[in-house]
Amino acid sequence: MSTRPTLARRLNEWGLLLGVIGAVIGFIIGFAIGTIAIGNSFNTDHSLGSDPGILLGYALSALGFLAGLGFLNYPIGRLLGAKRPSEEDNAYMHGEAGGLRRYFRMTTDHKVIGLQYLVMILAFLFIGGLGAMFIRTELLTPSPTIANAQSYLTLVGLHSTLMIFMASAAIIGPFGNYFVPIMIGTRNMAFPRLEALTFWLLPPAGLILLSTVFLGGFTTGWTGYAPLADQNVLGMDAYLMGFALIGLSIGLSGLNMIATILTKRAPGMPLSRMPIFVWSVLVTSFLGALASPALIAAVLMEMFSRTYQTTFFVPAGGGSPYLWENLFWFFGHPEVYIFVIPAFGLIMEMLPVFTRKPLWGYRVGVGGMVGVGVLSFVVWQHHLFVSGLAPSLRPFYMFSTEMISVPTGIIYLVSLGTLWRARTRFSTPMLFIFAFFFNFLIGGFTGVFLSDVPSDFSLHASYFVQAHFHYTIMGAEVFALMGAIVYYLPKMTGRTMDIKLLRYQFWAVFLTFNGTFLSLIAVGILGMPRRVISYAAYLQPLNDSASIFALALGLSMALFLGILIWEVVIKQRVAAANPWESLGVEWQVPTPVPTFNFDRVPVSWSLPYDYDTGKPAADFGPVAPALTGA
Amino acid sequence: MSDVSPTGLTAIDEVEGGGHTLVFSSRVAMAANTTLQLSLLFAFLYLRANNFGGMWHPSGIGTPPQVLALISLAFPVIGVLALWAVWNAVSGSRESSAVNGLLWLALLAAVLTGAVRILLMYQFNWELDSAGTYADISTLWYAVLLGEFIGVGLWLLSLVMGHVRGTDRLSPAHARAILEQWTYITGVSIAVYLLVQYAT
Ligand code: HEM
Ligand SMILES: [Cu+2]
Repeated sequence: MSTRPTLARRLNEWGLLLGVIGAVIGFIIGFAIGTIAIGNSFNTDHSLGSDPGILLGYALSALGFLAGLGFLNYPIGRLLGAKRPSEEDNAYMHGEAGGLRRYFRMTTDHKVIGLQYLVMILAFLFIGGLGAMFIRTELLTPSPTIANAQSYLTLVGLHSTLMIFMASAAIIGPFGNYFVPIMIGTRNMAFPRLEALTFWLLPPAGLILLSTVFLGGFTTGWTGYAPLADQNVLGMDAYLMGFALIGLSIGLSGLNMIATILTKRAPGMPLSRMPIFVWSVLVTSFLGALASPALIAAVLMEMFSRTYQTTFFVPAGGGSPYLWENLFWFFGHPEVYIFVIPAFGLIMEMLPVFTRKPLWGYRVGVGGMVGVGVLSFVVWQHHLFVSGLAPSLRPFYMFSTEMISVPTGIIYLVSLGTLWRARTRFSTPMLFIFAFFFNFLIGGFTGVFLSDVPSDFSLHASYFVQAHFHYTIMGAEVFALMGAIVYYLPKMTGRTMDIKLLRYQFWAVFLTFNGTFLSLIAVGILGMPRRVISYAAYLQPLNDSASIFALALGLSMALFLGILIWEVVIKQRVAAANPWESLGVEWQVPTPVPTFNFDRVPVSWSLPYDYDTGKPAADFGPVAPALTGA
Repeated sequence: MSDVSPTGLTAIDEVEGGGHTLVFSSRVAMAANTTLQLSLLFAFLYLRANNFGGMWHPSGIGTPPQVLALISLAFPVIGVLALWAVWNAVSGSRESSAVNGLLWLALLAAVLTGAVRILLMYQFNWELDSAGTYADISTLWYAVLLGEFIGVGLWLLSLVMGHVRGTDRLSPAHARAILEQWTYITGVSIAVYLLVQYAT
């Protein structure tokens, strides 16, 4: 072995530290170049720097972070025509040596990346949750108390944008990365370094966004509408750079998943035999790969406007705020299905395990997800019903939006068919599955009112909208996430949580969640606008109800995290090998899953849902049947 | 290897960037890039059609210099031809001694593409804060394309280096994928040239 890889490896062990140093150096260089060479922008807030300085500083700090982690080693080596990494190097990068430290560096093992995602996302969700607690505390009274109008808007913007960032990857990140390769029987993703990159873009995106508090914040909420975005102080740049990095991460992760799922499946696994969760990841990945470029285009325009003073969104300069709105929502609506389709996939993956029945209507369920995915590209204008969509276009978007209820309904039907006459085991994950269906029903139902143009005119920009998307995102996606954590932790960590204790936690979180957002639906119907710090006095009782439920909800979510940390990290309660008696391939491999998953790539026999016969889904024998020559 | 999986990969063919995976992924990337280009096209046409405040293309704002704009397209086209010849040579069974020369030619075309397009953008001479949205979107679009040319150019450089140094002989899949990418961006550049020059 030569000395060079050893040095690279030693550096790699300290990747996180080097990354932080790289980020600081990158920021200083970028800030200096941006400020001196490009100069101040039209933005009047010069006391803290200029937009070019901040944006370039952020960009180079993200790059420096990645460089410190070692992401540039491979591409630079290729540019110099160096040899491809040896098998041994690849095994090292894959974290073959094991141990805790590989979780703190760049690795190419999809299982390590899955767990990195899980921890990172829970950490950021916790921070975002704290933001929500501040918001609800402020809204206990009709007039400002702990915040002022400006800082309140920043608080709302931070909470919402951070949550949107994390929700984009909350299920695909941990569970997609961890389980898709195992479920389709491959040792690796198509592009393992790219996979690592999609994860390591997350911390800079989140931290850059949070750094907005040092730059005066931003007042646009998560949707970044112009012309407010043009007028905002430097804090807006944090939003833009954060969203750009997240957009990149979503797009690249989509690309990687599509390539992996469509070209690396095990022998014997046609698309029609793919576990339903893999299908959901595939559909979502298409949404991510095809929608995020529209976001990137919009963000680039806004970055140009804040630096080169272009006038894309300024009517007096030939632009229009609707340009932003269209591009943003062309991404934004598929984005909301990026949140929820993987949740559907997980739910349908878990249902047969607890009903002990084959998944009813597998093909129909796949069709439902594909239908939702395709339709989600043609409904974005429903976010613009009120803000200036040509009236003649409204009926089409109203129709297409309401059409989405059809494939969504189909997915419900599949689930009901699976539950029909089942001897369901009401284990804790199953409770979360039920809650998912309950909450999403309300979420979808409120959506229908919003897609109806006349009723949207009175509901738009009210708390009704806010309650709608919290029912869908938190009530559906986050509940699915919690259920999946309970369900999959035994596989991912070999440890388990106390599922009896979690039952109490479940009821707490379910009841407080509904208490909070039912109150907010009512507040919305009474006409209270979103994103304002003061409200009419007669709305106080309902707001107080929402706030008190919300604080209790926060506590019950914290309880979940507390149980998780206590039992998995501290007490390390050992899990049974296959506690739910699942037939899924992922449960047939040993725990912890070997570094490269399989000695031999398994041969798929059937869908993993044959609970009536108990037939396994794949062959893991030492020699591949009919593949002995391989 | 006796049997083939439904995906076209054999059971043990799990090498990262295996030929099929590479060409396929490159095409998915093109699809994603298409959304980006369509977003810019939408912006171009939307701003042009509405001419908000009469500021789409106020008088006195010129178009990019014709000759330089054409030269900036000539080099990418040469690149396409060179890469096409590379792909032809590599995918033919006989090892062609011309591959090295063709690769250098493609690389040269890529470098000149980047250089001329940077020069071209310097010649735009638009005061973006007051030049209207024709200038804004044209600048942004040319910048995006420049970034893409640089990206694919770096990829090309890595392939050339691996090939000429003998550390990593160019595979037909790589030759195919980069030919497609370069052709795609060249095609978009021609379309953008026509729009910016004539749909003023
Ligand atoms: C699948 C899960 C869903 C998610 C995650 C979701 C998420 C969202 C979000 C985040 C917003 C608010 C955007 C903002 O900040 O302004 C929103 C608004 C909206 N949603 Fe949904 N939604 C979902 C399902 C649906 C369904 C099924 C429908 C219709 C049948 C629907 C119709 C609407 C409409 C019309 C609006 C715009 C309301 C307005 O601004 O006036 N949504 N949704
Ligand atoms: Cu929508």
